[in-house]
Amino acid sequence: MSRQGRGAPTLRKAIPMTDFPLATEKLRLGYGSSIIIPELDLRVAGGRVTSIIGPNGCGKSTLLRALARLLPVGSGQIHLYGQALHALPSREVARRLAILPQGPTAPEGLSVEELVWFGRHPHQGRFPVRREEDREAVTWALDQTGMRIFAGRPLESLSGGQRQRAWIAMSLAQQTDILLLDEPTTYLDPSHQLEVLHLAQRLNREQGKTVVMVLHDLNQAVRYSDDLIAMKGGEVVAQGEAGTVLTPELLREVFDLKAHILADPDTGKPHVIPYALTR
Amino acid sequence: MIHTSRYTGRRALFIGVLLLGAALLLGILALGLGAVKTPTGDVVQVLLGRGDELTRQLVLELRAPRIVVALLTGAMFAASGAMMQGVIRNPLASPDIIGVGAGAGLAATLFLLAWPGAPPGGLPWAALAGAWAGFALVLLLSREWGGHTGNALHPVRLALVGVAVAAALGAAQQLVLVRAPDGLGAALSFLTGTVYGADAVRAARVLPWALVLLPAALLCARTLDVLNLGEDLATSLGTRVGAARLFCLAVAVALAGAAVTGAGILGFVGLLAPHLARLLVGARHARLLPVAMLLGAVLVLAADTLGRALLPPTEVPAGIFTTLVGAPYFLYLLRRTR
Amino acid sequence: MHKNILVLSAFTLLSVAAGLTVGHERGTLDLKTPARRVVALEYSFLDTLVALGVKPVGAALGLQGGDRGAPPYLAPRVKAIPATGSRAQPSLELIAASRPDLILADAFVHQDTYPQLARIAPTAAFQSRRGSLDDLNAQTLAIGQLVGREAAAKRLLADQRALINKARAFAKKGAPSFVAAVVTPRSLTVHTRESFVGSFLEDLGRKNQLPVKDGQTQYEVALEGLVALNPQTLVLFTAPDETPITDAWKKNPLWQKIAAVQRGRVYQFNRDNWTRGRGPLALRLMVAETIQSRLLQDAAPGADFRD
Repeated sequence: MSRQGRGAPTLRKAIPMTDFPLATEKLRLGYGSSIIIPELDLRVAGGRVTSIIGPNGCGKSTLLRALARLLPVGSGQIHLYGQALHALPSREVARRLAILPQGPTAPEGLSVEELVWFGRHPHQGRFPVRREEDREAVTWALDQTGMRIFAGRPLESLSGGQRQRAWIAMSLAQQTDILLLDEPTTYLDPSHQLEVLHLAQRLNREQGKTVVMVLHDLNQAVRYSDDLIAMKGGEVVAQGEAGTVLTPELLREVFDLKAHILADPDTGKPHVIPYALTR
Repeated sequence: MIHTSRYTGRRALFIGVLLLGAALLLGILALGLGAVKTPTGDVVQVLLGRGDELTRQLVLELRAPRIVVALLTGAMFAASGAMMQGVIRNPLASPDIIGVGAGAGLAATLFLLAWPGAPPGGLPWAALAGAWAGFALVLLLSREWGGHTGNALHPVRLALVGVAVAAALGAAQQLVLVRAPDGLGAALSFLTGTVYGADAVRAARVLPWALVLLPAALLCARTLDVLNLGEDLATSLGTRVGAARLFCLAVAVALAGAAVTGAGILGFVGLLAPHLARLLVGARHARLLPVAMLLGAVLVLAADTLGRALLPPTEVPAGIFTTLVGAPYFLYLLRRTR
Repeated sequence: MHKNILVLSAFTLLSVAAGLTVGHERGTLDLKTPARRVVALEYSFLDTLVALGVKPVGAALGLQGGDRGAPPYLAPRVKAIPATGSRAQPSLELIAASRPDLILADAFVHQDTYPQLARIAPTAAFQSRRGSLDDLNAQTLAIGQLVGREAAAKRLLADQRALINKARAFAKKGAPSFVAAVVTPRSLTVHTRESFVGSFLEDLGRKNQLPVKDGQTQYEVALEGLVALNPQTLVLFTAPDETPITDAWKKNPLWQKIAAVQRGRVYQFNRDNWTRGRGPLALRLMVAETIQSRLLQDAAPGADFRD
């Protein structure tokens, strides 16, 4: 049933767990007695942009949130560079992994710069002393996201896209190797969506960050990701390079869609044009 | 540039200094006000270590400790409310909502009315125990049993359980009050909240709590800021949310409990002061907490001074004024937050 | 019965030479000379002082905490006395300003204020609000000693005993028991044998129908409860300025079933005098009213005491 491994490095079983930023082992997730993900073994490749796709309720957000220890684990294990995620102090995890959940909210009146400073929280001690390296990290995060000119503005005065960039800036200030984004383009208009995705891609290309996103739009997922993970019913149906995972059969199996797949004129990657439901 | 955040550190500092000045001024004013007229000159003489014995007694033994207790309890209620609002992420949260007020009230009523042979001076300790018991009850009931979320305190559940427990304890308290033969006056004035009868002993009893807990509250400022971003973000930033919430709530309950021993249940100070502070300096707790403390102190001192000076020799309990201002504001908030 | 008086007297005997020493609920009080400037924080103390011919320099006459003020019998006699706050919240400032050499406080109501009062002036705490008749008589003597009028206090107590004995002579032998109740516009509270008025009326020779219930010396009953008790004699304490709840009950056919109503033995007294009145003057009034009302005789109530 699972076609795991298609298009992925062939020697993956031989690569030690410590080389993967995130990996799961017999992971079982759920809320109370309802099980969302029964058993999952997954490895996320380092230094790449990975997007998790799948229909609503397939468990993609649940998985992402669990990877960021926002959800308790039913059974099994999550590994952060080979270390048991839940055994690590939360603060240490926060220095290595940042997540931007869906629809974050901030108290009224908070300025962009104040928000970005929160990203330094896991690096600061009991007393909020602002060291030089903290200052540099905040400036860097503002620069990376193009939010420096908005630094003094209250969050609620910004557009949706600017606000999302401010939140990403906060996550960047955490200076982690791994950045998880849960549907970062939701509620944004198309240009702001691209803005956020470009940013994610650039962070990966220039900083070497491992980026894992949950995305709804298949074409965006293909275009801005190196790897795709396709999920259905709490299981990974396919995982591999973005260019090879999306096939008409997969679309039918995962999304119940009949689609044409064309080559993107820019990137040569697949471009999906759905035309009918299989149901 | 028009959009620059209104809430700056400089603004907070300015407001803080302003409030500190107001507290100082009001404190000096309050030294000269009371049922017995004391000319300003005489009060100044007393402050300079001279003056006649009656004025000394009035100013130093009767008024000064009251002012101290009013300032301290006001600051403590305000800090408690600010912390609870931060943890529960609900602007309507206050010591009353988390079982503290109701627990203290029931314990005080039981102590006064159902235990005739109670030792004198035991009331504040009964109230303190009641405050913690009320909080423990709310905590116990809002825990998710057998769930996978471990011991994370869920803010909404906490608030709802708090309201229910407050109502239940309030009803029990009414039951005791109805059966009370006499001594109702003392119980009622405690339940309304009053600084009446505060002496040096009481001031000395509240002071150590304040000296430990108010700075502890300030140390929680950053944790509260992070908690304010919500459970997901707080976790993402490396905070152990359940433990952090519990710790902050414990400090908040200790503050309110200790304040209750000083002035009874001063209504709405814990709601009003943090709110006004948030309007003035924004939601960052490093600014919000000190400004709320100062506001609470000024509020209670103003209420008590007004209560002493309005209809002498009758002393209108400070709690009546704070409730008079606080209750409409609470309703306004309720309408606004829907 | 007079154990308290004996104890207090013993204290006085011990200290004839060096001023006076009087025991009270919070210890003992040593005064070099009898007190001249007294502040009274309960009506019974005020009553006693007035009866002893001492004019207090201050009294808790303020209306606060639901206080209805000095009872009517006492009010005209205390008009000239400065009010120093209310009983629930005495004004410490005014008390201090009146420069007292003695403060009389209630052991229960002022239990938490006591330390502050004691810092202003020597303060004696007595069980007035929760005291029995014996307690109050003991206090009359103690207050007499504190203000240097022990002989007058003893005379008051002797007169009171004589008056009570006289009243007892009126009491009809074998008369049925009574139920006594305080009635407000919202409730009716019966007073048992152990309550102050309940025990006082028994002392005068009529039997109280109700024993203490679950440790409560007084408790609320509804009309049905009252009908179930079916008292042969009903003594009601009402306030002239209020419409008691019994006025509404009278329209109910159940009310007519009560034996006391059928026998025409419902007596009415002023509750302001009877429930807040304590001390020698109050007792004199209460004994007189009991006789005038013809309650003791088990005869139809006199004009002023008709329901």
